[in-house]
Formats: sequence, C-alpha cells, structure tokens
Amino acid sequence: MIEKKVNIKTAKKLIFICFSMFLFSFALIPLYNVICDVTGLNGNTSNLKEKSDINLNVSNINFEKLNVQFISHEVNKQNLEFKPSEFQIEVVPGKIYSTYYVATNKSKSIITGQAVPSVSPNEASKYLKKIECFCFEEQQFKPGEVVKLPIYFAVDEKLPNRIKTLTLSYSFFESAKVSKKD
Amino acid sequence: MSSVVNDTHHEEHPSGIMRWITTTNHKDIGTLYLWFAMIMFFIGGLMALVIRSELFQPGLQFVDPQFFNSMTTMHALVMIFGVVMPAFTGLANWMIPIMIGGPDMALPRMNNWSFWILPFAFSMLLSTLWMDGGAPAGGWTLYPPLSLQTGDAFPFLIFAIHFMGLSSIMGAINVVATILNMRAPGMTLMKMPLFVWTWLITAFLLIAVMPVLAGGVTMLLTDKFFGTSFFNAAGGGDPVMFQHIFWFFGHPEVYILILPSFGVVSAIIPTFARKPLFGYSSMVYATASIAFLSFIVWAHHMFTVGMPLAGEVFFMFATMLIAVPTGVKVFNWVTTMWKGAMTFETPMLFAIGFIIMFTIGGFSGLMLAITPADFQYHDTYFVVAHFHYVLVPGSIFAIMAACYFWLPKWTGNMYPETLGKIHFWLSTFFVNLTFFPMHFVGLAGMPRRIPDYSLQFADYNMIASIGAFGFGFAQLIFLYLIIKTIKGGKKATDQVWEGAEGLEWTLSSPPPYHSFNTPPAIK
Repeated sequence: MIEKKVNIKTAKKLIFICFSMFLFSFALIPLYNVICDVTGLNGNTSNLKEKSDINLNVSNINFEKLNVQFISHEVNKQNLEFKPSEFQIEVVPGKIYSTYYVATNKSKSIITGQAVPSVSPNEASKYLKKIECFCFEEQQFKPGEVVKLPIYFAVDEKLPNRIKTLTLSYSFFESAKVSKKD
Repeated sequence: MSSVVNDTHHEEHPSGIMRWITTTNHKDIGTLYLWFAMIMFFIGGLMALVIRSELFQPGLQFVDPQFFNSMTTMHALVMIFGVVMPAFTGLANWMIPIMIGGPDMALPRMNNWSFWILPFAFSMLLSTLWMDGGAPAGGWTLYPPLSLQTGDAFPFLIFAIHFMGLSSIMGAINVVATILNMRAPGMTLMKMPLFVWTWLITAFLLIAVMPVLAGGVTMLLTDKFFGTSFFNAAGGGDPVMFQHIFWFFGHPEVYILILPSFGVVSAIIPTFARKPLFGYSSMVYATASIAFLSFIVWAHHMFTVGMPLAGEVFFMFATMLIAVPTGVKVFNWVTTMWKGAMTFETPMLFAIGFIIMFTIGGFSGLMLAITPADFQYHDTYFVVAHFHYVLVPGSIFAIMAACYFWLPKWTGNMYPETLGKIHFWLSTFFVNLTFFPMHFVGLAGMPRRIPDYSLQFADYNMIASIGAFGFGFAQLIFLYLIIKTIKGGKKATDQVWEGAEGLEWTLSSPPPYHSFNTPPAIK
C-alpha cells in the first residue's frame, strides 16, 4: 500500500528528529561550558592550565585599590580542614599578588582531590587572572599533613570601575570516587 | 465506552481481555488511554490527599517528612505523565482520525505499543513506594545532587521516565503521521478543526523535547552508577547544568500539557455559542507562536540560580511575550461567545470555567515572570497556586469538558445532565477553595514541599485541605457518571449537540468500529 509507505517515511523522519534531539541534550554540556568560559558566567574562572599573560604595566600603579576576599568550602569537614591564610587583601590592578590556603588532613587516610574556584560577582571572573594556582592540579594530602597551597594572581586593569570587591571561593572536592575529567 | 462494539466490518477481532491487549483500533486505544488516565487520576489524587491531610494543621501528624516528600514528587509525576498526557493522547486517538476523515491512526501497531508501555512504566514507578529508601522524594524536577540521594528507587525512577518518554514520543509520531498523511481529500491543513491543529503542534513539541529529558535523566543515571560527572562539581561538572537541561524540556512540556486543551475549548465554545469560532487562523498562528516561544523561556524557572542580569532580563521579557498569543486565544473565545445564542450544558460550563480560571493562572504566571518579584515568590506556595490553576481548572477541566462533550458520541448515550452540572459546580467551588488561599500563604512566604509550617499559615492551609477533600470526592461523581453513561441512558442523536459541526458528528453515535474507510466528501 502506498499510504503505508508514506506513513513509514514520515515516521522515519520524526524518529530522526528524536535522535538528534537526544544527542543535542548531550551537546548542551560542552556548549554550556563554552558559553560560561567565554562570557565568564557562572563564576567560571576555569581551573584549567591556561595561564594568562597579564600586561604588567607599572605606570598603572595609580589605580584605585580593590579588595580581594578569600573564602573556602570543605565538603567533608571531619577529614579535611581547608582555609585561606588571610581573608582579605588590598590589591592594585595589574600587579601580581600571592597568598596561600592551608589544608590540614585530619583523617587517617590519604586524601586526594581538587579545589574548584568560583568568583563573585560573576562578571568579575574573567578579570581575575590566576598565574599559578593549586587549583590547576590535583592535590594529595598524607594523614596528619599540613600543606600550604599557594596562589599567584593579578586583577586585570580592564576590570569595570564599579566593582570594588572580588570574592574568590574555593571548594575542595575529594576525587577518590570520581573519575577525573580533564 | 466498552459498548463501542458495533462491528459492521468483516474483520474479526478477539473478544475479552485479548481484544484490548491486541487491539490496533484507534477507538479502542483511545478508550484504553482514557481509562488509564482515570485510574491514575485517582491514584495521584490520593497522594494529593495525603499531602493535604498532613498540611491540615501545623506540626507532623500523619506521615514522616521523607514520605511526605515522596508524595509531592510522585503526585507530580503521576499527574503529569500518567493523567494529563495519556488523557490527551487518548482524546487524540479517539478524535483525530474521525475529525480529519481518516480510517484509523497512521501506525496502528505502534499505537498499541505506545499505550501498553504505560502500565509497565507506572507499575515500575509506583512500585518504588515499597522500596528501601522510599520512593523518589527530591521533587519531580529531579535536581541533582538531591535526587542522586534517592535509594533503591533511583534506577526504577529513571527507567520509568524513559518508558513514559518513549510512549509519548511514539504517540506523537503517530499523531503527526496521521495528520500529515491520513486526511480525507479536500481536508486542507487550514480546514482542520483546532483540536487537530493544537495536537499537531503539541506532537512536534513532544518529539523535540522528550528526548532531551531522556538525555538529562540518562546523565543522572550515569552520574550515580557509572562515575561520570555531568552534574558533579567535584569532577568538573555543574549541577546547574541539569536545571538548564531539565527546563529546556520542562517549559515546552507545560505547553504540551495545555495546548490540546486550547483545542478542546475551541471545539466546545462555538458549539454552544452556535457561532463559528472567531479568528480561526489567528488561533493557529497563536498556537504556533506559543510553541516557538516555549523554547526560549526555560530559564524563568531558575531566576534565582545566579544568572547575569542580561539573562534575567531576556528571559523575563521573552516569558511576558507569551501572554500576547495566549491573550489572542482568550480574546477569540470570548468574542466567539459574544452575541451568541448560548446554552450552558456541562461541557460549556467546563469550557467557560476553563477560560476564567486558566486566565487567573496565566496572570499569576505573569507575576512570576517579573524577575525581581520572582526572587520573592520562588519556591513558595504562590508557585504551587499558579501551576495548579493552569493545570487543574486548566488542563483537567478541559479534559473533563472533552469527556462530557464527546461521551454521547463515544457511547451513544446521553450522560445525566443534572449530575454533570452538579459535578461542575462542586469541582469549581472546591478547586478554588483549595488553590486560591495558596496565593496568600505563598505571598506571605510559605515555602513549597514542606510537611510542616509556621502557625500564621494555619487557617489558609486548613481551608485548602477542606477544598482538596471536597474536590477529590466530587470526582467520584464523574466516575459514576461515566460508568452510568456507558451502561445506558437516553439515546444520543448523531449530531448530539444542536450547534455541533465537524466530521465526527456525521458518524453514528456510537460510531462504527471502523469509520471513514471511504473518505468523506469535504465541503
């Protein structure tokens, strides 16, 4: 029957749309990450190893001073203490600063994991350049160990004037059970 | 409905239970879908009554909080996927072929399959109530990481959703193929009844978004059991990503739940106003625009996750834009009634109730669309009031209107009119008693999905609970009325309603088992 063939042809087209939409749902993941990275939405300062070459122009020293605050979140407080060494520093845009976080492994086993950064307000995230950061790599803490985790950063001069305070937050996640994504 | 055994055709079909299991007849399958929806309506309703009993007074009375949360989650899943969607698919099966003058659905075997998946999917979903760790309790939106804490029920929940999705996708493919290929000669697209149009657009929405939900829940499954990190921040994922995927499905889904009811109301209003529908083509374009807009407004469900200002503003205005085509529809219905020779039989009452109360729900939706206000309303009972207004006196009333409207056609018997009217007035009174006070407690700050609340919300919650029980018991009238009409009653004429126009009314009541084997002539 001709009619039957037509119906099956229509159904095949529709099934094709279905499969493409299924694949599209997975394509949303990289798409989302790309959009967040490009626009700096979601506070994504990216913990990937793309070290920024900040333009160090000393003549810009007259810039207004900014506050950069540091906070931390430990997912598993009983096992790991994870704190910034100083909660706030005053910075001038364009200059490199350093500070460090302190991690104390209070458990009896090795803790492996990674710190995931986030910047608030969101729009400031692409102006906070991390030159060197412990969040670039996976960390391992032996039982009882106390580790200083350094971070070198600078604030880009192009930061909009209305932003006076930036907050850099790190959440430390244990990666024992999590497959590592690069 | 089982009385539709008027086989003038020479084909044999098995009797008893095998008739229903092996059937490929669109009328039989429509009936199955509608009964399935009816059973699920009472199961989901029972869950709602558990919720309302617990909320009758502040404090914990009847159920523990975990079970309470299971009830809110399961109530939503059952009502959305088990009642409204199957009921509309049932109406589509019954009505679309006879509205467009086709002999049956385009793919009858797939039609059978898409129905018979549902009882298995819902047995699987409901069986989780007796599992270790309880039924899913993280809300029907399944946000991770909370939903990943579900116990043994988790894989059953995911696979049940896969099956429901599969069923509705197959149903949608069938509807599209039927409408595109099975129309009688002369039945051009712009001559189709609006119910057919709205279903065509709904079916495309289903085909576009159900696979996205399937993808999203598959990612949840692999996150839980196979060590992926799609939504796990520890592995580089992002839980907010799930919300984007979910609502990319979820927002078109709410139009899937409402568009066919627009079609139903557009069939009923002209019949009882005895005037042709005002602005037919604008209705078609309005439906299509609503469907298009539904794809670009999803983030208004997640204004509070921390979006940039530009995003908030875009989604706010895009959302408000939907009020325009919806307003066109409401305007057209009202104008159709304007100066019409109206009578108020039960289907008309439900249709008018739909227009008024759906519009109330639409207005509270506009309030929620205002981003700064939404920060206040988000996750409060105001949201609960909003979506129950569009779903209960919206979709459910439209389904009931459709049942009253076409029941004489399906069964060949008139339903008892007085009883129908009593059902309508009781439902309308109690549905407002249930959901109207929720606006107030919501604006006053009562959060949704909690088993206990502060004392100042006590009075309104008690009123809402009384309303819920009243509404629940009023539905027993509906069940009784349908069974009674199937068993007998005053014989219906072929046209049934004085003002009824369309191909379905040219068939006998009840229609023959196989109709329009030779295509009808279209004026």
